[in-house]
Amino acid sequence: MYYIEEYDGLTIFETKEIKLKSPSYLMLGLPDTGLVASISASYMVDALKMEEVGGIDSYRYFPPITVIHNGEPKPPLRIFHKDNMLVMISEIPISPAAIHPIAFLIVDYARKKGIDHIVSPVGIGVPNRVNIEKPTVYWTSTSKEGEEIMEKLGIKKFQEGFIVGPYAIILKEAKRKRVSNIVLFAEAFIEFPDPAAAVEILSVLSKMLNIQIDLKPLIEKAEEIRLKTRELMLSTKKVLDRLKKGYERQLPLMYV
Amino acid sequence: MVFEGRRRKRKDIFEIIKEFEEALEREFEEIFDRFLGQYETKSMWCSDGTLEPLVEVKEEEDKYLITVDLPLANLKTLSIVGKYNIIEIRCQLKRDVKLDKWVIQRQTTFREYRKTIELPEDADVSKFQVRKYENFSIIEIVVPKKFRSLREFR
Repeated sequence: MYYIEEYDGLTIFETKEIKLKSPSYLMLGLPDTGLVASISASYMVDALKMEEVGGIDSYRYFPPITVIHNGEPKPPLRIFHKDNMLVMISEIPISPAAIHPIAFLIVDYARKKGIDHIVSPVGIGVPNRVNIEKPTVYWTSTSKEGEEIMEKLGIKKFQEGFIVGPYAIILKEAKRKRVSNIVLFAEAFIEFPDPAAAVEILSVLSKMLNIQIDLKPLIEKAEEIRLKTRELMLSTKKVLDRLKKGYERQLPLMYV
Repeated sequence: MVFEGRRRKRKDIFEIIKEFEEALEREFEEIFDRFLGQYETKSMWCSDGTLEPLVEVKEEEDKYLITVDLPLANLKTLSIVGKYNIIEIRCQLKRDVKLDKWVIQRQTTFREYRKTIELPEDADVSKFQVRKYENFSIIEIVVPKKFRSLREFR
C-alpha cells in the first residue's frame, strides 16, 4: 500500500505512486440518472487504458461486498490514472447516508492531490427523452478557470435548476473549499441507462481535455451496455427515489 | 490589526443550524440504511434464458403509462397480452446473449424478455395501445382507466 487515509468511516488508498501531469483532472463515475457518469467514466478508463491505482472502501457505509474483476478482489469504488487524469468509478450506488462523507472525501482528496478540476458528468432526466435524437450537454463551474475552459467550447451554461445527489454535494463542497468543479449535464433517460448521453459527455470531454477518444465502439455497443446495466440502474433508481430526485424537474423559486 | 485576516471567521447562527440539520439528516439516513438495508437489489436474469426489462409505470388522470426498455430486442416479435388487471410482455432478443465471464449465469443463453405488470383495478387492460420507439428499443403502453374522471364514475 502506497498511501492510506481514514476519513469519517471511509478509507481511501493508493496502491501505486501517482504522478499527475498538469493541468490535472479528476473525473467522477458515481451512479446517477441514466448511469451517464458510470458509463462515460468506465468507457474513459477502457479507451485510455488507464491503470488502477487505488480505491475507496467503507465498512460503515458500503454493503458487505467485494467486487471480483479478472480474478482479483477489488473495492466497490476504484481509482484509475493516466497522464493528467484520475478517474473514480463506483460499482454500487452511493446510499443517502454515504453521500456527504464521500463528497467531502472526494473534494478533500482532490485538494491534497493538487487536482486542477474535478469533472462531474451528470445526467439530467428529461421526460421527453425518446423524442431527442442527440442529447444536449450543459455545464456549470465553481471556478473562473473552469468557466474559461467551457466558454471556449461554445456549449450552453446550465442556467436554472436543481441538482440532487452526490454531485450536488460535491459541487457545493468544491465551491466552499475553492476547488474547481466542472459539472457537465447531459439530457438523459431518468429510469433507463443512457449510453447516448454518455457519448455526448465524452465528446465534450475529448475537446475539453484535448484527447482523442474513439466513441464508435460505445455507439455500437450501446444496446448491449443498456442490457447489462439494468440491475445497477434499478438499484440506483431506488436510491435516487429516496433522495427526492423529483426535485430536478421542479422550477427553482428564483425563476418566478 | 495584522492578525485580523488570519482569525477564523465566526459561524453565524444560520450556519450552525444548517450544519446541525445536515448532521441530523445524515444520522437519520444511516439509521434508515441500517434498518432497511443500504440497497434494494434484485436479479433480473433467469436461468431459463429470460431477462426482466426495466419498466416505469406512471399514473395520469385518465390512464397508466408503462415505459419498457428493451435493448437488443427484436420488436417485431413483441407480444403484449392484457387480462384482468395484468399486462404480460414478451419479446425475443435480436441475437443470443451469453455472459461467459460471469460465473453465476455462465451456462445460460438469454433469448427473451419477459415481464408481468400488475396494474390497479381501475386499469382497462383490454384497451391498451402500444407506441414503439424503434431507434431506442423502447415501447410505451398506454392503458386507459375504466373511469376517466370522478364525474364519469358518478
